[in-house]
Amino acid sequence: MNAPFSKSPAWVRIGLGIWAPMLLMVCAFLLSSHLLTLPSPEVEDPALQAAVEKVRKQEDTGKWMAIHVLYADCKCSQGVAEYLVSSERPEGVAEKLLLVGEDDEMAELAAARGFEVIQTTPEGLSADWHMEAAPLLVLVDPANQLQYLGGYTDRKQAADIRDVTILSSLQQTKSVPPLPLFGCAVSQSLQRAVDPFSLR
Amino acid sequence: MFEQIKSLLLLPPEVSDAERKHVDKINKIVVTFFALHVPVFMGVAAMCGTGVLKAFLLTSACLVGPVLAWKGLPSRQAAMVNGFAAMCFGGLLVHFGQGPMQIEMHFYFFVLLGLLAVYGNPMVVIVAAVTVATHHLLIYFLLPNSVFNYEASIWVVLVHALFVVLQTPAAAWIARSFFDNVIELEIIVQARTQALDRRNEDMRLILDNCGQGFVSLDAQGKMAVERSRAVDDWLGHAPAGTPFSALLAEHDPDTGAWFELAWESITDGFMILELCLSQLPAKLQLKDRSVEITYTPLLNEQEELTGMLVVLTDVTAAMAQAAAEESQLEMMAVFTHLVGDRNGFLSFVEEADKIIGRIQDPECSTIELQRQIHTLKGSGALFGLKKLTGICHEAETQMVEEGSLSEASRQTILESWASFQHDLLQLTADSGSSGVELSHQDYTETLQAAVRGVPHQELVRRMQDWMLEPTERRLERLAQQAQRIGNRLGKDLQVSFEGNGLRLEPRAWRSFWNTLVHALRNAADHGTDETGVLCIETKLEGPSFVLSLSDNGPGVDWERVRHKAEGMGLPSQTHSDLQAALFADGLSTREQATETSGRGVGMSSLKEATLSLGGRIEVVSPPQQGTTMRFVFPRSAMHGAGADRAAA
Repeated sequence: MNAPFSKSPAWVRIGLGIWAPMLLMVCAFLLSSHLLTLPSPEVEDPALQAAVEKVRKQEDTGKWMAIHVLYADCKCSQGVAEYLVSSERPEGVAEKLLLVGEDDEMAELAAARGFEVIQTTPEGLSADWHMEAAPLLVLVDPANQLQYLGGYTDRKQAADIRDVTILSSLQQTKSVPPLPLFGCAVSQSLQRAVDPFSLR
Repeated sequence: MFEQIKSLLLLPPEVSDAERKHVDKINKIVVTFFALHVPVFMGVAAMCGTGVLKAFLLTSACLVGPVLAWKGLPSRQAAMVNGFAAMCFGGLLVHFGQGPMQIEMHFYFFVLLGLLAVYGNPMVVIVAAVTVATHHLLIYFLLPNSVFNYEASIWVVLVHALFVVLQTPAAAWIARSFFDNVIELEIIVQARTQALDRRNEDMRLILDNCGQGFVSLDAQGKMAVERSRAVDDWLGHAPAGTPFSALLAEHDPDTGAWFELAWESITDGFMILELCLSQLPAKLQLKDRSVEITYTPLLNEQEELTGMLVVLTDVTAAMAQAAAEESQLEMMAVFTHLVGDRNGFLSFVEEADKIIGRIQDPECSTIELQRQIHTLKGSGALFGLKKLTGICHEAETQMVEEGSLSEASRQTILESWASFQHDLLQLTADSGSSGVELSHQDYTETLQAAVRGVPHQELVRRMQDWMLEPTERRLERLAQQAQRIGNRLGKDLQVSFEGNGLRLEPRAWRSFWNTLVHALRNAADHGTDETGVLCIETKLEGPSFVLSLSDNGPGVDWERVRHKAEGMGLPSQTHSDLQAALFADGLSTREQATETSGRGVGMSSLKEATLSLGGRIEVVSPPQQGTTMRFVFPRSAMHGAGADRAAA
């Protein structure tokens, strides 16, 4: 006959009683970063609209503008940055890299590939752009209208970054639904919400 | 349905030693395997840039549970903790393996679910699957939807876990099969062995209580270890491999040697098996019981002998019953004779008592013993004493084969006679032979003579004759004996007798009558064919009293008598020599003695008895015209005068 659990030493029972639910919670939180998406601002957000207009320069007039919002401490953002500097970029598009935090290497590489690098802080991103998560793709038409605000891929682990495809579709006046935002919380408030134990 | 699923998932509450050893061993391996996750996950985290320190801390935290369970929980419960931990390790791996390989990291879940089946406990797999499902559901309920702009449906979350759940029934089924057919094989074997033992015990119970002994022998005649209790009880315990002949020899060396010899003939294979089996000893006499032995050969498909089943049956009671029945029959015969011919029978007993006295006498010569025993046998047969007759016959055989009578055989005869006397005493306790036997005819004749006024001397003579024995009664008894012998030999004999109203002094003639039976048996045995005729008569011829015994057989083979006589160194020139040889000790024309005749001692006894009464013997036997033996005595011998003379 197998001895009942209650007959086991107390330290074992207590230990396992703490260990199991904690571990379950940890796993749940870790999983959430892979399954669930992060929030992005509304397209109609005036602050966002103003921030976009602010970054358009004179020479960008009449061009589609792509703003790549990347977070220096985010693994997903680093992956997007590596993609941007290594892939063939579309002609006639003003591409800007809104880099949250400090990553000189990323900034230099991006600049070398023709990206205009705009650096900000997590607080600045939240205050000026009303954005709390990265990586985020913002596409603006020549009339300065926000045409796309969303993620790069349809799944977190997907290697298929669709920025060029999305841009091409929009240029052909096709409607493109925003992709979910998989990545990292940038603002402290969002970080506390999705990763209260700083496990990620 | 529910009960079936329940019985599939839940193992029996009892944990066998085999299961405990197995699960303990697997737990040890699994904890070691999990411990190795710590450096491996740190390496993965380093490669994927997901935080080496974080990987160390979380993986170590995950290891705490399996270590605690291994040290403090029973084996089955520790296994379930490991099932839970396995899925948590999977979650950590997927997290620390973020990047291009993150999808592949999910394989860990499926591999571990399959590996957990090695526990042989479906519940370990179930616990693992439930862990996966639970932590997928937890994120849906614990994290506020408001923080996400992408509304993830619960179904999306469930589908993510669905494949893990799909694998679970198969893994659980495999685990249960592994438990039933591998881990619990010892229990299955043990259960079947116990069932077999129970059957064997039942069978042994039957064998031990059926009153018979069973033992099997191999092809070399050696005993197997399996045998019924009766074998050991009766013959004593012998270790497996003991030759059965040796065990028999412990109780009866002759039977042991006999078995060994007969077994050799079986293994030689020269004679047919059935014949060899019939030569094996069928009886064994132990101290306190008689055992009958039967044999059943065990043959293979090629009809070759592979062994022998020996069955011992205690026939002590059956033999005692048979002996009692035989004794009862003898007593019935004795009773019949006592009622029908009381004086004649008592006369036989008196004469037999004298013979027993001679047999008892250590000074009695072998030839004398042979005569006496032969006479006792013949007389006993005349009165239906089969047991005594058989013992005498065996004694005679021994004397012929060994040249002397063993003390044991002598005692057997004496004990048999003592037993007979004891039984007889019960029948004759209140009377002896002191009465006078008078037939109705004798009484009438004597009465009429008295009425007629015959001289009183004549009346005295007639009344004195009452004390004499009518020959008619003796002749009738001899005729009946001849008839019985004929029946036993399968002959339809016509036996006639005629006493002619003569009487003889019973004491003086007792010996003659007892030995006359030898001549009668010779005549019935080889003096007649299947439809022979015998005639016995007493008559007066001038001054002589004559008893004649005639048959219609082929007559005496005088040439054979001559040949035998020459072989024994007896005179054989004249017919008179041959007649004398016919009554010589040890001469018989038969090649083999039977219970009826053939010893060659009976006729010499008869001659001696005849001479003792002053008589002589004449043999008339022309070829193919039968044989007549005439015993001629002087008339005075009828009243015992000859006997007196002989005694003098």
